[in-house]
Amino acid sequence: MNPVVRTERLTKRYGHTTALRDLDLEVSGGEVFGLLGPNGAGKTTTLRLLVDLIRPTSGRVLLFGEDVAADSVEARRRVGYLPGNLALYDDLTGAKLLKLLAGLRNHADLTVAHRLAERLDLDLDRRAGELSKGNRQKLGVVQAFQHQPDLLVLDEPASGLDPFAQRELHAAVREHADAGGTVLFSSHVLSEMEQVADRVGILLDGRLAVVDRVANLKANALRALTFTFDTPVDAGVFDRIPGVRDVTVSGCTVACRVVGNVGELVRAAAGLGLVNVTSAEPDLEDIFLDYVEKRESHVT
Amino acid sequence: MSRDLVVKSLRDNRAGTIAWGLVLVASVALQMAVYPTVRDAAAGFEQLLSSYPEAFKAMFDIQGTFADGAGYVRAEVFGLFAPLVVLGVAIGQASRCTAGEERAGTMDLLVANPVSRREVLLDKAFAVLVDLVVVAAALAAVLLAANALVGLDIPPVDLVVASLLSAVLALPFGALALLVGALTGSRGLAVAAPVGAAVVTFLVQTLAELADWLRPWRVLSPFHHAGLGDAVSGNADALGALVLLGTAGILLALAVLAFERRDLATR
Ligand SMILES: Nc1ncnc2c1ncn2[C@@H]1O[C@H](COP(=O)(O)OP(=O)(O)OP(=O)(O)O)[C@@H](O)[C@H]1O
Ligand SMILES: [Mg+2]
Repeated sequence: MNPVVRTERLTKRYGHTTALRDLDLEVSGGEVFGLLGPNGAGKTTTLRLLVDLIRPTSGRVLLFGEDVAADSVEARRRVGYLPGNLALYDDLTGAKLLKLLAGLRNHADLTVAHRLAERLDLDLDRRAGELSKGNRQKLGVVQAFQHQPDLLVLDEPASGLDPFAQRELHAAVREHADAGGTVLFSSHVLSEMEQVADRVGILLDGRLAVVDRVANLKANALRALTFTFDTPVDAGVFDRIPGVRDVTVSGCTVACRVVGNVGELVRAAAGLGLVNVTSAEPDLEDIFLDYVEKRESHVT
Repeated sequence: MSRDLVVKSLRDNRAGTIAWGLVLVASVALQMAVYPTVRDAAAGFEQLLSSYPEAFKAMFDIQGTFADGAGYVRAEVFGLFAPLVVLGVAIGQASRCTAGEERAGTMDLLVANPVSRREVLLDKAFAVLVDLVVVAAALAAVLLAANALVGLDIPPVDLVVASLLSAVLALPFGALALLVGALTGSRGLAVAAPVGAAVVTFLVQTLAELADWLRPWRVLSPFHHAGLGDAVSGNADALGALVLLGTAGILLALAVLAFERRDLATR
């Protein structure tokens, strides 16, 4: 089966800045893919290339197996898009805006929109210009979902949403994927990836640094461990164990970080009069910072 | 063509079109209300007019007499005022609904739908055309009413033709606004380019009355091809109108090509 989204060496340059470099990405049907990266990494550039708002410098985009450059109208029929820099027609009420956009898609059925608006606690009778930032964002989310597209392209969908609305958004994203739909969204909020993404791609400086399942990223992540012993110990013992780094000793306590299997480390510790060990679940923040660090040490 | 898109554009343009239209109708009504006084004092005016510098008379298409309705209407209405308003509508709306929408950021929302760039631009251009026809119709209506009320003594068909020609005159300028907007995404440039073109070509047309060496250049002036004044006098220039329509068509086609190729701006 064709992947729903496929990019081939997708590159976008603006003058001297390369916003996106040789991006090869595949997202398959039913998958929630999270595009993660710091400001200016190229997330918005990638998503706008997908919906043909901007054109690649080189490389190409295939949606549903078809080259977007050949016929982006057909592709967009099946796509719902939430812009990163969301702007709405301020003089229209939410209901009117949804009706207008639905009309452009020959999609007369507004029940999905109204149901989602209710879930997000969004008042569709107010004019967009009167809405608060978060409520405007909700309207943006609803218009992307309203025609039940095969593919959702969401640029920072959770930005500005309160925790309740974020939870509803994530639930809606999951439901969409469970029903067979595909979602590609961007964020720099890492916990969001953990909650909804099946796979994550980390973009740094326009390059895709890594793509993996959230679980694998976590497995390969640095894990912070803290050991307490009945007598002070020597840091050297730990330093020699492969995969262990950042060892700090203060009295009877040793803190370190380890990547991969912790077996050897724990066995060594057990032989030294171990009293207690605590392990922090690695969060994506660490994974993310780790990649950033690696890249920076690579550069300098 | 997408009906929703056209309706949306018309609704966006509505306030502007109504404002321009009201200014035009109110001013022309005032000018026409003054006409009987002008006519009755024609002898005095004639003297006054003959003392005006030629350049001034050329500028306002003053053909030596205010004593008949046609001379009055061509000078007062079609000399400067009506072209100014229809150009204002064309340039203002064309730049607002394309480059303006892009600057506002809502173009992303629009173009993310299954509509082609060509369709978006053509639908918006069509909406501007409708606005121009509405304004021209309002102009014709107030002139026809004046014709009946104050006795301008102009064949009604000439008033209607001249009014419609003023809309035709505006087309190339509106299309130029679309083209520059499509090329640059800048509303400022999309306004400045056609306004600059209008000022220059208007001067070429009017000053050619005074300087013979300018006469050959008149073919470059849309104002020359529109021949609004002569249309009031019953000598409409059909070929000139076709030149204007053709020019507008070419500029519009170029605008579509440019818009189809360009990266849309975000805010
Ligand atoms: N129109 C443009 N002209 C010039 N440079 C641009 C343009 N659009 C984007 N860039 C540059 O491309 C790079 C990627 O920008 P992009 O907006 O894709 O980042 P992002 O990952 O979405 O960032 P953020 O998290 O801040 O939204 C940035 O360096 C940006 O300055
Ligand atoms: Mg962005």
